[in-house]
Amino acid sequence: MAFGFLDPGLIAFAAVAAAVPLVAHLIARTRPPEKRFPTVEFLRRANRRVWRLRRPRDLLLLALRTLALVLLGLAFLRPHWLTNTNASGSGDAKHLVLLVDRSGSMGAISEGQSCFSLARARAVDALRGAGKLDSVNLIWIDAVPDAVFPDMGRATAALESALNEATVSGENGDAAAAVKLAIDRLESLDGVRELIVVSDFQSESWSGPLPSIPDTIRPLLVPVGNPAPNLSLSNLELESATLLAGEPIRVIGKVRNHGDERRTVRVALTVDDDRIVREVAAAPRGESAFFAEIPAPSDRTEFLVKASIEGSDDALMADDDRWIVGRVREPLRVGLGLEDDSVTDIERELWSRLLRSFAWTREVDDIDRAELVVAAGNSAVLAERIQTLLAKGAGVLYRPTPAGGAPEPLDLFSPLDPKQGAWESRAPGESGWTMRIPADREDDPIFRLFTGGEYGNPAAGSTRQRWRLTEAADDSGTLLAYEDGMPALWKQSSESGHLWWWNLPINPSQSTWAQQPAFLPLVGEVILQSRPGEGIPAHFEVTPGLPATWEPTVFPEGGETVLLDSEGNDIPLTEDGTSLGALAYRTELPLQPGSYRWALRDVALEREIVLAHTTVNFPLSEMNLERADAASLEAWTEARLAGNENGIDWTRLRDGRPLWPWLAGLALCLLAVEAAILFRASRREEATPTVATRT
Amino acid sequence: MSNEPSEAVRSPRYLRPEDVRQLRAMAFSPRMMVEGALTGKHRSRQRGASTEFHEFRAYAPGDPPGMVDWRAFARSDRLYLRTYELETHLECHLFLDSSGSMDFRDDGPSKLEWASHFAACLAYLVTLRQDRISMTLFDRKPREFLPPGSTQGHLRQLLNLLETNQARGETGLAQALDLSLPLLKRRGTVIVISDFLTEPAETFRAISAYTHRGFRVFLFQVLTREELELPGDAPRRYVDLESSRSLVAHPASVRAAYREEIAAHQSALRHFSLQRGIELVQAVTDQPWIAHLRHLTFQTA
Repeated sequence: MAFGFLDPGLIAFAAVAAAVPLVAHLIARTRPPEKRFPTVEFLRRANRRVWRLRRPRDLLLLALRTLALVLLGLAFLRPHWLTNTNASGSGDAKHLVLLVDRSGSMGAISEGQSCFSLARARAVDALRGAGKLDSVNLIWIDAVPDAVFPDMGRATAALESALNEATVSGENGDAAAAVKLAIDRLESLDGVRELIVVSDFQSESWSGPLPSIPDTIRPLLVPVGNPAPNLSLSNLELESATLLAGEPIRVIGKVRNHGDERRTVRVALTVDDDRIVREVAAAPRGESAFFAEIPAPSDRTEFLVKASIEGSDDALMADDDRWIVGRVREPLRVGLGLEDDSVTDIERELWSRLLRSFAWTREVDDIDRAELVVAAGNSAVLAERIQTLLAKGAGVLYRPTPAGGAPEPLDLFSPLDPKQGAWESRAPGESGWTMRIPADREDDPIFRLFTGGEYGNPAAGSTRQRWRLTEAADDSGTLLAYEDGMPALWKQSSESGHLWWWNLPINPSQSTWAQQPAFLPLVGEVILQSRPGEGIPAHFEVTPGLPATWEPTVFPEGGETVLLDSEGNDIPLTEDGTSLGALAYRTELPLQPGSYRWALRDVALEREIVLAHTTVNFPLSEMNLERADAASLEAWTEARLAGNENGIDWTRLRDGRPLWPWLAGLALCLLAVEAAILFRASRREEATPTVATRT
Repeated sequence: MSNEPSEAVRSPRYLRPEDVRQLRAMAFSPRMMVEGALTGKHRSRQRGASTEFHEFRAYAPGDPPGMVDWRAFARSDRLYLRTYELETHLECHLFLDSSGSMDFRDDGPSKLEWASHFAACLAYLVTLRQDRISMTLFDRKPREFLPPGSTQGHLRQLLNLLETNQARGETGLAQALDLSLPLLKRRGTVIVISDFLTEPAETFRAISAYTHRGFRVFLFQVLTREELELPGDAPRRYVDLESSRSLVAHPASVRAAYREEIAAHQSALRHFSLQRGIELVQAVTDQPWIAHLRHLTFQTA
């Protein structure tokens, strides 16, 4: 154990300050006035006697005063009692690693300033209060934790500068990786090692498994900010990121309420100049979804959808916005693969007219190029073609016919097994088979359009012909079923494509269902659901903290390719090539949450043509501002969490017990004793005998 | 011849007219027998021609045969001398301390001024009854000696001596008394006016020589209030008036001990004077000197 001084620089100052009055006293000492007196010898004897009697008392007073002044002086130097585990003031080498959280949640406002501002201030205080350090480093807690110095350094000024210049990253915080990095830096060093973590200790980042801290490293956790209820836009997605021309943008979003009170907010969805507002009621600690349909842009370009929570007025604003990128593609290529004699001419004509009736479809003659094929027939050739189409990711809508329920010899409809069945019909005088939507399929996307009743009932009407399965069908893929359970519309989706079992005649003589208002919209939905899956380009959405890369499909000519943020500021780019030799652009730095646009800048014409969009959305893990359980954190570090007050006494936190209050108190006690002695002496002097004179 | 002092005598500094008016109502009476060369109104221990019978004593060879009482011889067949008390003039010997310490003053007169007033008044009283007075000014040794006299001229001479006297030099009371003893031819009253800031034992050793020779000794100690009480709070450098030695002291701190020292000194003086039957009067300069004269006088009016 030893003493340490929080302000060792004050020692020199105190010495100079103490010397000034002494020197002034010696220089400007005033001689007492001279008095010519006849009884100096008596005075001398009295003085000698007084000194003999008073010297012990004066020495005691001198000792008391000196000690009191020394103690007061020491108190101003703020000494602290150091134990073996204390970092400051010990004779060993001292190493410090600061872990400062700059993840997205640190952007939350607490007491008028961001948590990150508080963290920076705490970190600077910690650096300044660390005393003399043999080595020090600063590690940022973000998606990819990194240290300011590659190895441990000594320049605290550089770290202060880094702290002052840093901003919130908007990334998720990988606390475990940051702690591990800090331990790696400290473990190889000798001496006193200290790890100070300044963070909001947001629950999702700090609740996971964290690397255990060796006993040789003294951790100190300094929380900043106060946990506050937060409302966040937790999800925004397009029903289809690749729209067909004329297809509306269907946006699905979610608002998450992290508070204990029910909140109703407005969410504004913006695409170009179109703006739609949805009111969302978010249950306490729950998530509420919203849906909106926005007219799609007419041209075949990428478009950006922005959703914003309006008037959330919560602590963290960065998670109130979310973006998503979509694009408009060419019309879906559809074709008829109806074998001869498989369907009537009327039905063939009806199918042809149906496929041409939508703006986003274009009928092609060669079904091998089609992305959706309406097929009927039992030949092996058809079966092979269907298999090829499905393998390419195309959709196949198979229409069973009286000749058979499925093409031979492939078993495409397992587990439906339509081969085991028979064609059945009802006479015109008889009532047809009616249908229903299975209870568990009412929420299927194909029926979403009909939830408002505006487009009718897709199960209304009846049919007079159908393929009847011999065995009870596995209804897991059944979207429409006859009353007796026979599947009317069955769908099997796989990564390669969509296969439909269309057990629904559309010939008016055989079906009233096809005459219902919901018929055409349902066919449209089936076509949209059958579009082949398309990969989402990598540049559409980038994880916060990672650089963005854009591979233009067409070489951008006629200007300079730039990346602009929402404010129009240029983001530094490097031109790069992919492994396949294609042109690619890459950002030099990780991107922070926001929307960015890739553009071709024509300097001569002073215009920028937007070519693509990139979005960086706020990480979900940073939205909940609740603090991790203090008990678990303390159990992890085996140290108490520091207080979250405005001014932290770093010495108390880091270096044990402060001695200055005791010193000041002791000095006051000594002064009180001195005053008591003086008071008693003055009482005695008041009782001084007087010399009697005789007259 | 009138016994009234002339105007020229009254005007001096230490004998003011108002003092003289008070002194006229007094008569010097040291309450003892005196030895004088002239026949006067004071009784003398010296046997001589007088009408006042004293005693018979046996004849010793050398005694004047005229003093033998032949009637007693006839009755007893032994030679006896018949002795008579001799009436003579009073002789007063004044010793005035003029050392440097007597120059000290507080708010009032200096000790020497106070003592000079006292001496002047005393001299006036003595000469008023045609008695003789001598005066010795001393410091470490007799500095001035005015032989006994009783005339107005002698008084004037004494007053002039007082006026020209200045306090200086170190005190040597015992030494001065030792040296002054041979100067006194006739026994009488010795009045020593001093601050007596010397060692009491040594002082009384010197005084004892006078008492052994039949002198009646009066000691008048003159001190100032400041010497007795050491007032003030601020520290001062105290410089000795005689030796010029200095000492820095804080009056508030040493006052008690100082007063005890002074009290012990005064007590020692009183002890020695009581032991030797010597009257000691301790006066302070803020007290009127006339009041202290009453120790030596009786009222005539």
